[in-house]
Amino acid sequence: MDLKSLVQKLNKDLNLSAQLKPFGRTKELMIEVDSAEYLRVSQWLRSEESARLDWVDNLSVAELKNALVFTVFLRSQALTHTLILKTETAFRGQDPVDMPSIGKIWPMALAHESEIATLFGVNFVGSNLEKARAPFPLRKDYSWEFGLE
Amino acid sequence: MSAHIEKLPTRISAHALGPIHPSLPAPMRLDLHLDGERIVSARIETGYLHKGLEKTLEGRNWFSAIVGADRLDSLGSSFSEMALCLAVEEICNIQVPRRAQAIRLILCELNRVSNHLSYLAKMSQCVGFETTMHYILRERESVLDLFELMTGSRFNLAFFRYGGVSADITEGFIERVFEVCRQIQIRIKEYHALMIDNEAFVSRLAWLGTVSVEDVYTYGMTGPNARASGVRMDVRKAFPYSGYELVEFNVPTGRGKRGSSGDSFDRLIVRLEELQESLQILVHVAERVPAGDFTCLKVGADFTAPLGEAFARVESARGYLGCHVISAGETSPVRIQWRTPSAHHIRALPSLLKGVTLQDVPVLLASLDLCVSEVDK
Repeated sequence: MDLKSLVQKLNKDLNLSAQLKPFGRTKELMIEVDSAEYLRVSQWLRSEESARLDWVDNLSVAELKNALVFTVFLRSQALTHTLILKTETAFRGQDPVDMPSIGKIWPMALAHESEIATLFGVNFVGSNLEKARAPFPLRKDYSWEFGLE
Repeated sequence: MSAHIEKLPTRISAHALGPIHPSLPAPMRLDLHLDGERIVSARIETGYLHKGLEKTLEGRNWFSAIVGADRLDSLGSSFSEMALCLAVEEICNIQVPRRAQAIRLILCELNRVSNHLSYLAKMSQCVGFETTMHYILRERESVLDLFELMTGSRFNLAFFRYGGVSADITEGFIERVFEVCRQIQIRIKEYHALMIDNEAFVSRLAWLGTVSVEDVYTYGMTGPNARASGVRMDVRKAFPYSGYELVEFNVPTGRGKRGSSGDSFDRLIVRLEELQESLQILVHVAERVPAGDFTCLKVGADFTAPLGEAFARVESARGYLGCHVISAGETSPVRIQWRTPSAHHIRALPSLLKGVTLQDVPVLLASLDLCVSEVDK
C-alpha cells in the first residue's frame, strides 16, 4: 500500500485529519499528529499489515519555539519504505513533561527514550525508565551554573 | 573416598567491573551477579564518557560542527563527518561534485578497513593471541598512514566539508591505496590460518553471545552485529549515498558455520568478509575517480544553512549511523542529534551476558565492537 492510501486509512480508522507532508527537501514523507493521538497512531502504524513499519530508525527530540518536538523515523525492513511521525508537547522552564512511551510498540525505541528522558526531562509513561530529574541539559535554558551554589 | 559428598554452601556473589577495567572496551560499569563462575544477571551503567557533544555543537558555528562530529567515534570519524555533511547538504540543496563523492567514499571505506582490522586485533588480544594482534595492527598502520598522507591526521580527520572535501587527492595517494589493498588481501589469508582455521581460537568464540533475529529487532541492532544473525541490512544498499549506487558489492551474513548463527564467531567472520568487500570497493573506486572539483563551495565560519531539517543515514563500520540536523537559518545549528549503533548494541549486553562465564566477558564485549564514546556522546 502506498503512503497516501495508508494515511487515508489511518484517518478513516482513527477519525483523524493527518496530512502527508514532505520532510525537508527529501523524498521522505511525514505526518504530524497531536500529542494526545501519538500513542494511538503509533500502535496503528505498527499493527497495520500493509505498512509493516517494524523498525524505528531514529527518535529525536528538539526544543523549538517553547515546545519539545518529537520526530520518529519509521521504516519497513521488508518493504524499505519510510514514514516520519511528528508530534510536539509544550513545556515550561525546567519542569519535566509526560509523554507516552512507544517502547512497548517498538522496543528498540527504548534506547532513544532513555537518553531523551535524562537530557530533555521527559517522563515516558508506560515504560520502566527512571523519572526525569532536573536539570535537563539539552533544554535551551540550561545554564552551566545549575546546581552550583 | 566417601560416596557421600557434602554439598558446599554457595550463594550468588556480586562483582563489579569498571568503570576502569582491562576487560572493558572503555569506561563503563558492569554490575554482575555470579553463581560461581557463571553470570546470573548483569546491569550496565554508562555515561562516564559523556562530553555533551550535542549541546556543544548547538553553540558552535556550522564549520566547527564538522570537527565536533569527529569526536563522536574517533575511530570512525569519516562516518560521522559524512552523516553530518549529507544532512546539511540536504538542507542547503548542495550538489556534491562526483570527484568529491569518490574521495569521501574512499575515506569511508578505508575507515571501515581500519575499524575491522582493529576489531580483529582486539578479538585476538582478548582470546590471548597477542602475536596475531601485532600482525593485524601492522596492517592497520599502513591504513592510518594513508589517512595521514591524504588528510594530515591519522584519526579525527576533519577532512569533509559541506559541498565536498577540504583538499584534492594527494600525489601518490591512489597508488598507495592499491598497494595497501594488495598487501592486506595477502595478509587476510594469514589471518584465516591464524584465527579461523585455529581450533583454539574458534572454540573461544563459537556459541558465545548468540544474538537472535528477535534480539536484532528488540534492541535495534544494525551493521555487522545484525548481519551476523542473518538480518541482511546495509544502508549502502538500502539508501545509497556518495557514489555507492555505482559500486557492486556483496553484503555478507552469518551462517552459523562453527557454532550458532549470530554468535561471536559469526560476528568475526562477517567482519572479515566485509573487509574483503571493502578492499574490492576501494580498488574499484580508486581506478575510476572522476575528474573535476573536490568541492563546490568554500565554507568558512560565517556559513549559514537555511531554515529546514534533514536526516542522513550512513553505514558506519559498527552499524547504522544517523544524523538529524535542524537549522533555523542562523550561523549555528538548532539541533544536531546522532543515532549511533553502539547505543543499541549495548542494550543487548545484560541478556547476552546471562549464563556466560566470567572468563568470556572480555571476548563477548569485544565481539560486539562497542564504542562507548558514541553511546555516551
